Amino acid sequence: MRLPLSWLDEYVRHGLAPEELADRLAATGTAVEAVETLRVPPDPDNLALFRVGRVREAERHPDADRLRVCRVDLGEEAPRTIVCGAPNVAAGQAVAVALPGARLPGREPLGVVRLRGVESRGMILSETELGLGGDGRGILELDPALEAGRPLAEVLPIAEAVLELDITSNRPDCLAVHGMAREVHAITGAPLVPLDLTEPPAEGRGQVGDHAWLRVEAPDLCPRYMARVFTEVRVGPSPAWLRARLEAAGMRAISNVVDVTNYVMLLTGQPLHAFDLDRMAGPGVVVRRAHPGEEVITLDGQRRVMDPSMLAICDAERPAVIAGIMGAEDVEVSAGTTRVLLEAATFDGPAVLTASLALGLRSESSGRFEKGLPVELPARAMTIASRMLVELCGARMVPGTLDSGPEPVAAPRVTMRHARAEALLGIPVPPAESAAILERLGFAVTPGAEALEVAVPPERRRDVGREADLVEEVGRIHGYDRIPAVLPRIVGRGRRTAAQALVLRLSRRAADLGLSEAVTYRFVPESDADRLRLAADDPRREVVRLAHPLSEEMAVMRRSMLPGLLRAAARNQRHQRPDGGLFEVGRTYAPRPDGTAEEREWFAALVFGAPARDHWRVPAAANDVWSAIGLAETLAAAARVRLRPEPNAAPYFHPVRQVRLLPPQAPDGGPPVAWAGEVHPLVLRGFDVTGPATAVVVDLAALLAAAPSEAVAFEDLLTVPVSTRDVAVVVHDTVRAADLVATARAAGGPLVREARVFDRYAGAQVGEGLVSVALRLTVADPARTLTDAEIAEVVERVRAALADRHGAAARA
Amino acid sequence: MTTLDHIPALRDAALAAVARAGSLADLEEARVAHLGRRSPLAEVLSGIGRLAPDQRGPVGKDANAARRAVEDALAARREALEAEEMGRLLAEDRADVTLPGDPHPQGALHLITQVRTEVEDVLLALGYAIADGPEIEDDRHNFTALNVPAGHPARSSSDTFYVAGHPDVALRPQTSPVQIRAMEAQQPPVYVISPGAVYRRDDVDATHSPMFHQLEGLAVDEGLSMAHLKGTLVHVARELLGQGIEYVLRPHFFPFTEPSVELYVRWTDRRGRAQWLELLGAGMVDPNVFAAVGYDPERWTGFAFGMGLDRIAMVRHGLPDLRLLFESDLRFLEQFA
Repeated sequence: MRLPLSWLDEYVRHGLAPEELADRLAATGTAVEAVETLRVPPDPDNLALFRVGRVREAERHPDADRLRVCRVDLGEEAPRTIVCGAPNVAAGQAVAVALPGARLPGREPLGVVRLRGVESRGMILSETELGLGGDGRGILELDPALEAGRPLAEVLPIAEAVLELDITSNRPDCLAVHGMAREVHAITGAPLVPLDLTEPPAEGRGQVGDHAWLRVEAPDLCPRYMARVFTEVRVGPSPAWLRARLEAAGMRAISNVVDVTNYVMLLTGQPLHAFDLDRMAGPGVVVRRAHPGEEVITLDGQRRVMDPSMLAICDAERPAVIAGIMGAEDVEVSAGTTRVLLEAATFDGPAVLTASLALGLRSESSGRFEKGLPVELPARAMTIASRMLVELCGARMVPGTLDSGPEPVAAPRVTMRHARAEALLGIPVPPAESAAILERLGFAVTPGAEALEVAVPPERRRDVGREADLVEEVGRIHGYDRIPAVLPRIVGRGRRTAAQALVLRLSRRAADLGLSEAVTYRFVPESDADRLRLAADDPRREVVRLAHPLSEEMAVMRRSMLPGLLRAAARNQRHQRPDGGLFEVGRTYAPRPDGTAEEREWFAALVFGAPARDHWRVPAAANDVWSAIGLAETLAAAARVRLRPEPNAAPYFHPVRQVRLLPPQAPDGGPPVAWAGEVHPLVLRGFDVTGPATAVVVDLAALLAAAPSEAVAFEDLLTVPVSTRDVAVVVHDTVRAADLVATARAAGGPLVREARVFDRYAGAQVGEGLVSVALRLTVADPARTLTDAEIAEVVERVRAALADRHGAAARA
Repeated sequence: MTTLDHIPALRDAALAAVARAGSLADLEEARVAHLGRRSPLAEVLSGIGRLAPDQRGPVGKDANAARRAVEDALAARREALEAEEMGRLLAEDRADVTLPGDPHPQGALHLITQVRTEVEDVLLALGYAIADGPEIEDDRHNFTALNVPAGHPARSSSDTFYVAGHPDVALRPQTSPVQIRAMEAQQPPVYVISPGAVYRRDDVDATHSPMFHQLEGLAVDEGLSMAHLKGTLVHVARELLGQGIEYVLRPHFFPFTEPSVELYVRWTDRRGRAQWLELLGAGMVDPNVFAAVGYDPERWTGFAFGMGLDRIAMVRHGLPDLRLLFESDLRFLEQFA
């Protein structure tokens, strides 16, 4: 909301500079987005050069038909000569004058100029030149009763500072100049000028009932509807001061009647609506739910289709207003209007919000109603607007008011205990000060020794109903800067859980291996399932669907970590990074019948592209299934878990070059901890990734379950010798390395501490269909030193078993 | 002169020759000349048996002492010459040490993770535990228990992502549901933080994202007041942005806290522009929230606070566009390794 400070000044003379006021408001709960100055530069030296002048003479310039030489009384000893080019300047007018040296918006300072030989010592101003709007076609004529020489700033808001406020949704009362005046009153203590609620004379013909009748059919959506009728209305432009205020507040001036409704809304926070009564179908005003499909062409020229959740203000035939949001163009006040029905009503906030969202239509009015306005407010706004219509639009008010109004309710009372306030704020506020703050904010306070009894005014009833609410009001005005900063006692352990620590360990390890962490959107296109080549009956095709996704690309919650990483890889490849490594920690979402999901947490890595050799002596890293297995193993090692790879058959991996990795304690294929493999070329094509690409996916819960939680027990392999023996065998190339290792371990018994394949060779020397495999055995007994004969016997057992189980021949 | 009288001269001549030796070859020559089988000293030693018995002892003693002195000098000299020699050989080696060393690639944790773990560490040290909860949440935890009433704009389907066919289930719009779950699961004192992804129905642009990251905290205990809230917020801000950071607590509005505040810090961006920046939203836990989880609001008080991790990353690292955080562009990510 834009708050013009000259307007605020009318209700509270706070005496603060705009920036200072902005700081005080920000400190007490009204966020100030910007402090703007409009029109004439506002320093006092400049403002002193703008005066009301009286035109004594306006003679034609001797040498120029279109210029007039004026003698203007500025309250000085003698009138000044000012040359003016406006066609409408005439003797007797009161005009706005800028003296030499004055600075106008967007111009150099005025000088003394000679125009065709006549020296002009000042300038008679138009509205446009002052930045007040208008069409700039003539000078601004002021009220002729104004005294010559009077500072112009006292008459017109020629220098306007405007605060751009960000009002929180609980304070619609602050979407109003007078509401803000109350805040400023509460903060500064400067007296608050109450709203002038003097009723205008009711001199219109007949009674209101002779002109219109009212029926509210949906009181749940319209707790109050008030209307008055005005006759002999003369529609025309508003006076300059009113237009200036509206424009400073960010609204366009339209016509005096419409401007009055907007002005009163800006002043009180209560939206109003004016109808041309003669353009309505009959005298009846019916407040009802819209019929299904009922249409309105709103003021902005758009056709709007309503439904029965929306409230309409209707005449005998059709909706004239979408309640609280916008009127229809065909009953709008226009140049020929003479009979006006003025509405001031309360509409249900959530219903206005819902309708406004459904229609995609927001207005100054809906923005206020949707926050919930009190039923007491329309009466005040009606009184002020009525008076302005009479004073500014020549209207005559018809006696009487149509009012569906509810019975007035007693103000709710809330108790605020001083002890409780201190407990919440952390500092004591003297009871007298608490009471004074609340009173300035408009609450009625009955003081007591232990507590204050507080009656809540209508405009605060939605926001304040409990003790804590009053404590906040007292605290924010008293000042949060007075509260000391203290740390609470420490009661917790202050440690990450094992699962949280594990995620960090894996992430740091991956980063130390050169992978960078990605964060991708968890909502993905449903077609990812096809791109991953999932079978038609794959359970991962069951997804959580969003009701209103932003796009098809963000329509369902992901079931796999791969698509996000593959899209990220493709993006990098499009942007000068043909190869690289990414990982992501996050969840997948398997739908449950109640709409929520089983959320599983994963660590996923993707290495994409063939790494180029880019070092003068270190060869390029590999990117294939074995590099992926190695990555999976080193990640698992971060959890002290050793994994056993097994062939796997996921559709998104290369059919042969993929594994699942099992913890050693799950020999019968218990739940895998991780999967690793080369991404299927068709999947890569679907995601526009240039291969090769390998992926590792770790089930974090499974990894954590496999991780030993106890401390590592020391094993003395330091004081006994640890021997290594190599066993090289030739086997068929269908024999798997893991099987050879398993055989070696089983045959060697507990003395074989470790067995692994360290070399593999296929070629002419070995023979067609054969492969030479070298195993390295680590042999030791922590309890004693083994003899050479014992070691040789172990190796022999291994050789024999390899020959027996796998047909292995010793390599020549 | 007796044999005994000759020994010092022999020794000195030998020591001089050792000292003179400029190379290992010279030194070997000196060794042969002065300690070799035909050297005068060797002859003295081998001639001892032919001396008069009363001379054998003193000559033997002196001659052996002289030999040991010369041997020690030889060894020392050899070591020195060898070191010289090695130095010469090493210096002849050709190596361009300005060639790049072997690479150890370094990736980066995501900036959001970096900021998150940093804030977590600050709060872990204050005794908070890190709590976790579902991202797809029911209405009670998303809204009702947080004092967000029916009809509130935050509940509208234009702000919140609902699950199709389940109007009471939505992607959590803040991490506060985790706090409700934490309070449902235990009695006070409670000190928890809940970091994580949250979802709001904003189109993607330079300052908005339909998914972003929050870290919220909750403390419920006996005797907690706004002073404790302020102390905690200020501590976090200082740890994150510097001990000297200027701050101010301003009133604000959140449904789940009363009173509610925002912590603003004075921040000078990389272009040198200083401004007040909203860093944290916070407040004393609303009595309705305590009622929703069955805590006695007369006995317990508490505060909650929350911050946008993405925004802190943007501010602290001078990011011009929020989208950078969700594009996974290595040119971006690797800058923060």
